[in-house]
Amino acid sequence: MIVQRNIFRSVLLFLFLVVLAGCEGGGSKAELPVYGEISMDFLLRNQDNQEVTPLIFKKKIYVADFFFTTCPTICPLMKRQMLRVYEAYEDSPGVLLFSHTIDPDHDTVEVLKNFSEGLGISSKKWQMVTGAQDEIFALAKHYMLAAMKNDQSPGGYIHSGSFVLVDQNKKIRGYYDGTNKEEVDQLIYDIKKLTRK
Amino acid sequence: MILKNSPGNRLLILFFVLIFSSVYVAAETRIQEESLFNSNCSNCHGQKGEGFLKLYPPIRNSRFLNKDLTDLPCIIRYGLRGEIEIDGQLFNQVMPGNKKLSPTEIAEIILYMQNSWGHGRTELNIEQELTQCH
Repeated sequence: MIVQRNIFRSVLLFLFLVVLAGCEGGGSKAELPVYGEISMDFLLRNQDNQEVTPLIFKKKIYVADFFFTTCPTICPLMKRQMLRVYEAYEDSPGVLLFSHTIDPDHDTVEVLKNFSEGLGISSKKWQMVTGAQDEIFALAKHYMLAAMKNDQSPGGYIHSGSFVLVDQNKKIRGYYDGTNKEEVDQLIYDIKKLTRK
Repeated sequence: MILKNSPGNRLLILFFVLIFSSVYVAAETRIQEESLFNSNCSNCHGQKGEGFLKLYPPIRNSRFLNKDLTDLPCIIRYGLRGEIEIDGQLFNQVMPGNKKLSPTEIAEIILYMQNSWGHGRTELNIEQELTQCH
């Protein structure tokens, strides 16, 4: 009788552990959705005046966004949040941040250099890129983000404040509001999911 | 306690109504000033005017709320570019101007910043200052 009860207890404990392990595994292995694929070619210049092509993303997880340095509205909030992602992955060589200016007439290589020095960031981790405006607008469209001129808006442009998460295989895995701390917390967590693979 | 409808009591009630309504108006003004600051300035300069890294200078203890206060209306309307030094730190970004703010709104923003960070409340003649921008 006592032996039977012990076996019963052991089985219960075993089942409990299996369920627990199942929950644990389910939480971390849940796949991020795939929203699209980045395949557009480009030639841009970063804050260190180096040419940048899609080769820079090889085997990297990266976060892309679109901004301009004199934007008075959402960009300062986006840059504050992107800096949090930078700090979280400063020592992870497999993660890259990629900010395109949508106002290349003003945001030259020198202006981007000055801006990145103000943020205290390195181009190794966080690229700020400029180039032909048509090409940058086309890239924004490719990422399925809005970016256009608009004389009525403060600063002269309308653009999305989203951060786009792209995995090692150039698949878009998430969109996050770059002005919202909670969504950026989720982004930081989701990058970790992709780096575990 | 029952208040008698005497002239003394009526005066007392009037007195309290005036006190409460002026407190209410002051609070409303403050909310209006704060929301102008939050929607036009704080994204860069921070909600407490503390600035952000070497990118956006702090305002809360800067000379622009003290001896250079009269420069502020022009800076808010037309922006600022070139290197400036604030609290011993150099800054060199372009601050965009805001031509949509009225002189009254500019005045409210300046009063809010002065008042929030212990610089009193200086009544500036904003329209006159705006004629002297270079």
